[in-house]
Amino acid sequence: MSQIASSILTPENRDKNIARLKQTLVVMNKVILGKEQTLRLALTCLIARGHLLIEDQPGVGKTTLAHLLARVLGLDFQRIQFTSDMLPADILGVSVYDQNSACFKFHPGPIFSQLVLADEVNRATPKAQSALLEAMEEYQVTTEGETHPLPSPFFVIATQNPSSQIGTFQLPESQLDRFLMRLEIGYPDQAHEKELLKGEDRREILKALTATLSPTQLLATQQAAPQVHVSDSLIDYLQKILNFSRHSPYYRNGLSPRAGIAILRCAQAWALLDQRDHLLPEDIQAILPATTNHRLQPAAEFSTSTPNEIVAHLLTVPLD
Amino acid sequence: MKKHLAHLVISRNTTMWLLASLLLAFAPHILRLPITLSALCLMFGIWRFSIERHSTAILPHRILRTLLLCATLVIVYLHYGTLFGREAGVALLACMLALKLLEMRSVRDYIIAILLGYFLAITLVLDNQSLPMAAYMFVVAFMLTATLIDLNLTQKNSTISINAKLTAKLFTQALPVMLILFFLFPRIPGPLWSLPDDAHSGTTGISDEMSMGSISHLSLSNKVAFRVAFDEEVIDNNLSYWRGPVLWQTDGKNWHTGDSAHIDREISYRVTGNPVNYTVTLEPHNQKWLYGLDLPATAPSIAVINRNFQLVTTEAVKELTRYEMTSFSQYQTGPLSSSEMQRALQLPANRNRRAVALGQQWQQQLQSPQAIIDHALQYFNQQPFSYTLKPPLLGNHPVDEFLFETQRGFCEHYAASFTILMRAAGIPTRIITGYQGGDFNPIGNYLIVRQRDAHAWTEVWLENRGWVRIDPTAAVAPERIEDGAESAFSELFNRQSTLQFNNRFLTSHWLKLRYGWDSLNNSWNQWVIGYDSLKQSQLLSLVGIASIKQMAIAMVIAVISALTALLLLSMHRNRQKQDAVSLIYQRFCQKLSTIGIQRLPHEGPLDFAQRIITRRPDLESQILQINDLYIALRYRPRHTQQQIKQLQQQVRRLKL
Repeated sequence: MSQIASSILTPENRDKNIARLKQTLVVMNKVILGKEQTLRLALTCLIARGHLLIEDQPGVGKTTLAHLLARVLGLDFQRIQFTSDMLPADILGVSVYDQNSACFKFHPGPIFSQLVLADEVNRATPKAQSALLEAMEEYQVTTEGETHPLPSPFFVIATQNPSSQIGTFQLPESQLDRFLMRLEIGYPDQAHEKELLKGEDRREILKALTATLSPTQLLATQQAAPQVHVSDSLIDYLQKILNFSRHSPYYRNGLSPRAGIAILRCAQAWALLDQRDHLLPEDIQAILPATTNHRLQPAAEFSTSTPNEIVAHLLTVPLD
Repeated sequence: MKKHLAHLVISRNTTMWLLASLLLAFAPHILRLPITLSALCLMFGIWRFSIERHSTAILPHRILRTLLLCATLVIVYLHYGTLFGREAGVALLACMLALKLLEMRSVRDYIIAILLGYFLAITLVLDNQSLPMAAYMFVVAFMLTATLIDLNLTQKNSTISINAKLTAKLFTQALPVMLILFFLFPRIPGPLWSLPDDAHSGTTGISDEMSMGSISHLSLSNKVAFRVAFDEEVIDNNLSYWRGPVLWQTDGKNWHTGDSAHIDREISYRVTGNPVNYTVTLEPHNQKWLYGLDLPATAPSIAVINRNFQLVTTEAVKELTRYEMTSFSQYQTGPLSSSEMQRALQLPANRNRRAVALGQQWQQQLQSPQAIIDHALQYFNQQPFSYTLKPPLLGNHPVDEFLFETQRGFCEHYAASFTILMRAAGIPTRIITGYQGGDFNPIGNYLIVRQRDAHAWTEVWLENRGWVRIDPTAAVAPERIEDGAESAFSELFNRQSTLQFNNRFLTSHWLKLRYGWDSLNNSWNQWVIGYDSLKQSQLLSLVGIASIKQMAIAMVIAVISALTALLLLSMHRNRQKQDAVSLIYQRFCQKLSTIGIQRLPHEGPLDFAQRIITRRPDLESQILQINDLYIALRYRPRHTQQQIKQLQQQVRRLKL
């Protein structure tokens, strides 16, 4: 693995990979129309080795996005539809007694997949949710004393439906923190919607797609991201943002150090997608709302504001 | 701002501190206010205290508070007959503040209470501007500020020591501002607005009327009348007569100055001997005269010398006044006009007949006026007269009763009797009131004259010599004149003082302490209270500023330069933090701001460059070059000095 990485991580290879990633983005934009920024953020999240939470109305393309990512990156894909009667074993897998070998054999669950779509994650009970989130955090599954590593790369896209909250179990704040980003897709604009309505079935397009990047290349890109240079002045800027969130009256509590690391990782991945070996303030600003809007709760006086309105204040923190 | 304040939680501790500091601000007022109002204010405070103690209790209802307010207003009005003016105003302020305690809930209420507390503390100087009061007010201000800090520190870890430290820091920072304002803020001669009429009531001192027993009541007062600093040597105690009102007219019981129609006439006198130069700091006594050493030769600008050689002012002395004087202790005054002669011999009919008869008898027996005077003084000396602070009450013929029956009296008894005797014997005589003697303070090197040094003596007019001072008290109690009132009544004064020192060592130290204390007070009066427009202009003329106008200009300049200095300092600090690259980029941004493209504080270099190019496509290549260099220098790992120079050049060359 490390040998592969080192052989790929030459500057030329890296640039090639990034060029492929850009190509991937172009392809993705042809499937999901008018959501360039969202797609780019999703890809960034993946390069930064984080998991993605998508929260939006049904039918705006959450599932399509997951399918699309799996397709273009050549990842094997599993969809888990979360329900209230779901058990952890339904996600992780079970050990079944094998008569031939006279011992228990582990049958891996749907989580043993490179890209997992956890659909409507808030429909399941906390117990089932925890099983998923634990696997996300540890990159491995432990059942009945045995530890099974998850495939690599491993990427979870969870979706939530913000409306119709009846019979749902809202993810607690501490578990929301496990997701690197939280995205909203939103309705397409008029022109793109027209194109969508006139065009062919998205499923058909998906089926026709071929991978533009191999999993190995994706892994190499993931390893290249932390090497993007971050100057001291940008660390200062990031600290200012963190401090602002901790002392401003808008938020109930500030961003944690983990959130700070998340912001930095995402910004580096974003810079990489921009084919740069150094971080710029714009990179931080680009990923800031998506990486913070599920980590910050509005203070009581601002409870009517939407999460994105609340985190927009972070963007006004002066550079120096 | 409002929202910020809203979620501050006020702890019980803060309320307790507030109550304590307000009590401190109120304490000196307790005895000054009418007892009902003091009790009312204290009651409101205790009420709030108990509410705070038992957290179940709630603040009184609004209707009850309104009723209390009306009641308080009525009480204040009944006591003072008005709601305005100094006394009523202070009473109203104290009561309103106490009432405020009963509706204090939000942070805003607390801040109002604290600010009113400062105001209440300020009103303390209306009554007392002494050094101890200033120290006390400092303590009050310190407590109030610490409470304000406690209120504003949201963290629960605010402790007494943190608050005190922060307060001390704030006070230290405020000190230079205070000094600048004290020395430079234009002082206007006289009060800025006239104080209400009751402002100076209750000041003690000598009046322009005298009856037997009117001076002796002053003699128990240790209050300072004035202080004198001599330029050369201190004058001898037996020459230290401080001249006040001159009394001519009598009805046999009371003495007064009489009509003053003759004041404007020219006065003439010859002086011999050396002049005595000195400076007097007079405490306010609410009368239209100053005190000068017998005989004043020059008058300060605020006064004139009238025919009685008295320093007369046009306005009553209502604030501490400082003036320079020259006097001559040896003098010879001119002739007497016929009307003056008549007034100096005026005797009431049908009063004090025995005394008048005695005077007339002496006139027949003895030849010269001098002999009559000597005889009279001998009479006082040899008859069993005694000098006492507690003379018996006298009836309708006070001089007769005093001379022939009680024979116990204070200086005014001797001066009045002597005058009646002399006038009966045909010698023109008048009574002079003022002060005699005083304590010399060896530490501050000045003389303190107190109310207990109040004195009355006489002047007789002799052919060829003019007015000659005769002090009949000296014939009875020479120690009063030689050593001062304190030694004459040493027994009494010692009994008065709470500490009695038999030990001589302790006594001398006690004296030193007293002199040191008075010297400190004197300096306070001279330099702080007495820092008036005159002293200010003197001080400012040292630095070449002559008028108020110039001073106003100087103040503006001082303020502007102080602000500029602060600005420069903060800019300098900012600059130190930033490296050369930031500075160059700043210059770049400044250049662009001249064509109306302002970089936003949170705007990154790429976004900014993009915005510039959209606005000015012609600059694209230059801007991109500069931006690339800047990004390379600031955000990329390695860069060279060469690149910095390049950036500098590019920015310089940028033509907009």
